[in-house]
Amino acid sequence: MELQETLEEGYVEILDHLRKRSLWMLQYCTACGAMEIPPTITSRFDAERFGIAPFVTSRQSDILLVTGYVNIKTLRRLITVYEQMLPPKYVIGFGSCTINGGIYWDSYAIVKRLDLYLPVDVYIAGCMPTPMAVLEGFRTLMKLIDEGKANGWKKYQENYEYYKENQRKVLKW
Amino acid sequence: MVEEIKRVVVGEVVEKRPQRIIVKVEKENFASTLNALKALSFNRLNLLTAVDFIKENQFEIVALVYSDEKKVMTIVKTRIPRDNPEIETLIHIYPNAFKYEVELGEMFGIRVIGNPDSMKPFVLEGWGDLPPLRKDFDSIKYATEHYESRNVEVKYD
Ligand code: SF4
Repeated sequence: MELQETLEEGYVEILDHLRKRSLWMLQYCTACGAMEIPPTITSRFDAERFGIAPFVTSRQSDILLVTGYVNIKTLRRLITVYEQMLPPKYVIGFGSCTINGGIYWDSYAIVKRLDLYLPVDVYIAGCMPTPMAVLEGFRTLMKLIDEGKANGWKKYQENYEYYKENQRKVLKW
Repeated sequence: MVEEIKRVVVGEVVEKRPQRIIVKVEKENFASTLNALKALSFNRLNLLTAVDFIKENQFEIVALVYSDEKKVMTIVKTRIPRDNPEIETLIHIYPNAFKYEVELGEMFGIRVIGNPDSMKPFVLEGWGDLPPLRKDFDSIKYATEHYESRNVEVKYD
């Protein structure tokens, strides 16, 4: 029994180690922060050298990149997209708007904290973050995955009721 | 241009600058004015929106139309009462007025007669408060009540 557990743990560790080298990213570009994605993924900063490439469908992506403010209309779509993704999946909150509302702190439509509604693994601060900061965020995520600490999707499964309740509060579901 | 407009429009016509003409009309003449302006080569609706004059208890509906040919912008304004506000639709004159009119319903609570999507939610799904662009709507209060904020101490080094 013990041997099997050890083997399984080792297996997961190896998987994590490999997984961090090939991350496909779904950008949810609904806000101004999306402006920094083209330089990040094209030749100048070239995120693909870290194995991070943009992808088009939610079913096959690993990272959900939320670029900027999330209002009540987009939050609903965002949750649908997140729940469509297959685990393991990671959420990156991008820009100060996802952290505390940013310059939209007094808006009637913008939710202020993304982590109440989706389990965020890494936040990238800045309005808007430069490509270097974005790459730093990606590297942090890779490190967390390697150490087995990027467990947002497990948290979402375990605390499903908590997240749903928060979502219901703003979306009036 | 002003002379031509004065000939077809019932209402006050002011020339602010050679390229900015302001036309103030009654609510009943709003759609017909725009129809007449379209015949005068004002073929593009740039904006249709409302302004809340809460002290006078009125909304001002503003339409900006542009003439590509003469390079002139005309601003058509009309006032409607703030209680139970209604205007006529413009979609048969300028089809792109459709979403502007949906926005009038959502953001100001102005019902647009003849627009099938008027008063349907577009951005604010499940909204149950005052329309948010009215002057008596308190955005900060609403945001603090509905969206939880993060309590953090900011440290500068
Ligand atoms: S953090 Fe700044 S750049 Fe990003 S969405 Fe908010 S306002 Fe736009």
